[in-house]
Amino acid sequence: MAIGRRELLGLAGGAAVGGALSPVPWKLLDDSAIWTQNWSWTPTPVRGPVTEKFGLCTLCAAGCGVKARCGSAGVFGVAPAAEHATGGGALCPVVYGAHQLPYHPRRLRTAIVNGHAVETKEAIAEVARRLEAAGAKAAILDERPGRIVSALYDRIARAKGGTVVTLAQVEDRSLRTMEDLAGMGPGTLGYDFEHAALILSVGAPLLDSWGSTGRMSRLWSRRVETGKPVFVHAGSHWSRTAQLADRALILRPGSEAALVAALAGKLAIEPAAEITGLSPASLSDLALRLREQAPALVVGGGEAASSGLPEATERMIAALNVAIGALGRAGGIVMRRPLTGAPQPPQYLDRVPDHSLDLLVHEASSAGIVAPEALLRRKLAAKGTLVRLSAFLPEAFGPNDVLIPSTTFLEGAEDARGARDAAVETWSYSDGLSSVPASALPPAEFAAQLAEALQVKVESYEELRKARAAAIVAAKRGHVYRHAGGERAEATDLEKFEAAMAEGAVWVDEPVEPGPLRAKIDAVDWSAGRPEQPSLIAVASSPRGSLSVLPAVPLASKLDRETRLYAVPGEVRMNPRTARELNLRPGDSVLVSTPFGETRGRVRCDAAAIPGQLELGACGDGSQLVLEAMGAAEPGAGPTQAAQIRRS
Amino acid sequence: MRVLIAFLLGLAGSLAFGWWGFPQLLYQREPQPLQYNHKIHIEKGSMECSSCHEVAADGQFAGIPRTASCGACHAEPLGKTEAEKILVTSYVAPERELDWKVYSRQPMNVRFSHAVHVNKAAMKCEECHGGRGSATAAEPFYRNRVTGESRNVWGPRMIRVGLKPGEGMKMSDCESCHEQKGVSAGCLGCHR
Repeated sequence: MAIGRRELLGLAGGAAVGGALSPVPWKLLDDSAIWTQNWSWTPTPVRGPVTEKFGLCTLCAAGCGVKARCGSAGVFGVAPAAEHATGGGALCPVVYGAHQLPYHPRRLRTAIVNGHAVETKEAIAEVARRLEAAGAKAAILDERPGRIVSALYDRIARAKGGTVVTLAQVEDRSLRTMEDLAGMGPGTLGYDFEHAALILSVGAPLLDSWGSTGRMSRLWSRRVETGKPVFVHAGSHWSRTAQLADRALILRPGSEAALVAALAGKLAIEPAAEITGLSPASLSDLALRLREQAPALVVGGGEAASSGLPEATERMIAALNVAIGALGRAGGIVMRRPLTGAPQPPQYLDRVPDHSLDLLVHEASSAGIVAPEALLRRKLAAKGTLVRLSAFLPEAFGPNDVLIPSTTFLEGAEDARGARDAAVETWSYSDGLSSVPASALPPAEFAAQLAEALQVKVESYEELRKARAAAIVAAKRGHVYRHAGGERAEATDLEKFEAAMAEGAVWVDEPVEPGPLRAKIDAVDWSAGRPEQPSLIAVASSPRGSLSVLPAVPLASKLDRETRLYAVPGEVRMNPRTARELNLRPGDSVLVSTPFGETRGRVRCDAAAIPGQLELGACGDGSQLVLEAMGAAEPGAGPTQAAQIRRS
Repeated sequence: MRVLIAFLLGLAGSLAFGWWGFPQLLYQREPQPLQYNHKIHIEKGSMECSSCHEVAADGQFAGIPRTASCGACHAEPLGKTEAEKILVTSYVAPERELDWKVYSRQPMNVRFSHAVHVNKAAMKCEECHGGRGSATAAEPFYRNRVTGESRNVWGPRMIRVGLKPGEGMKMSDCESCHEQKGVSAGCLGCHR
């Protein structure tokens, strides 16, 4: 039988009809849809049981409790530990995504000496050699003093004639001035916000990125219920604290000294009103309230992304606190006992003479603390060495620098002393929830290896931790606070103490009975200058934690971008009216200059920004340039800077 | 006439390939690591499904038990079968996990809470998993070469009609059950 074209067409037609009536096309359509959801390169979490563990946030000194959801591959979710004694059931926004930090592309995976990748052991040997050579001109920068590893740093530095230094964070600035005037050591005073009736912040970001987020949140909610404390904010720009405060007084930039002098009765109301730009009535009213709404308290410090108020202004604030009776009173500035078993608190880096160090070891292992690069460089001599123990590659490094890879959030054993401004000392520790990468050295391991290379005999981290636990139990003071259920227990049995601490409990010291303290305020200079009034001011905008964690946390940067709560990196936020006056449009590329530096960004117009104010995004890449422009390395440069802007 | 015959031949060949040959090509038979007998555990061991496939108090489903759970009873061989010998010597003693092929595994974009279905909706395991709990041996596992999923997700026959409870775990099966019970989960109830 001959097969012609017609028969072939018939066969093909039958096959086509049969194919449509078979499952082949429909099943393949369904399966290919599922196939596209299962690419082999799509990252998927390893299957396995999910456990909930308690850890410690190490992005700042406060040491808030973290409840982490862990799978076989590590931590995949973070939430606040509800009843944590220092965290208070709250976390900074940046922490919610911090478990992604270990996987950041800028993770430092090898040690670097003079620009060359080397073995970590070689880098440690090189640091030891340079530290030995530097002798008394060597310093270790401990961003979170009071930890166990701080004791190791203390011993290493002392053995070689060097010193341990720390950074003056925003919470430190007013307190250390008061400690100086009262002749007390660093870290011996704290704020008793909980018993205050009125809190006046002079430029301090009390309701945004201050101390422990949980503590301030609880104060805020209590204020709604009881009406106390009343928050009054007096600052030179429209900050988030100004927006949230019960009363906000926007001063002319640089006129904080005149305000404080007037409140202390050292400057007449009329000239003070003229300098500050406030009405005489509001100044008189505030002065009266400070005295009548006792206990009242005045807090300075300036913005986190600045060097704070001038020291002379801080001294005036301290003297005003003494004048209104806030020093040594419940609801004021109170004394706190030194942390049992901790070394002497270190001195502040900004008080070290410029160019006096040959070597500065900067332990920036897990912290998201503001460390202006310019400040670190300024303290070093011309050919000085900056050693960084860091989890991430810094934005820039010098030819003599040494970089040693370290741990980050929830990796390795850590302990925390608690927020600097707390009224009592606290202590907590965690053994870490994520595995430590082979290339990373936890701070304790770094200190141990450095001590070995220097032939300095030190105890192990575990021995020191046990010794501190034993000292706390022996002191029979304070209590252990378990956040599971918020139970309190006496710290009287070492075994029970250690078991509770291993589960994430916090030891909380007893408060010191308030009593009168003396401070030498006679020498305080009350002269308040008349600052020039710039037409444009620059302020740095950033939530704490994302400020100097150099690689921005993906989730946090997404939140920043989408919520528009803060200016994001590379952004200059301004009021549309200001933009019109400057002949700028949204998206324009601009160069912002201040007396201290320059930074670039793109214009974003936002009606929520106050006219005449430029908000510079100071988180993630480029934050060091913003910090430099804001004068963060210049003592007393102030929280705002006169600015000029032009298209670039 | 000849054209009609050619048409019918094409039709028959295509239908034969589609309904018989295609499934042979699409699914690949893979052996389970062990011939597991559910029935003997339930009847002689007086165990329930939840004895090994536990839903924890916090709602987490343990899924396939780990070898350590088997080792609680099978630290030593409990019989003389080949499967028992393999279990103890190759898995329990060296603490090695069994690489079970899971019949009901869903794509990664699906999430399913056993706690909600078992504890809250009081559903029986058989309603989704059929009679697997009373089987005397592990049924053959057929892997779909395109999706990587088990054939059991689609169902035993290429045509998805007349499915009995436990046959098929496609989205339409979930939807029909939810519709019958008047429970709405929304897109994000099951998808991530």
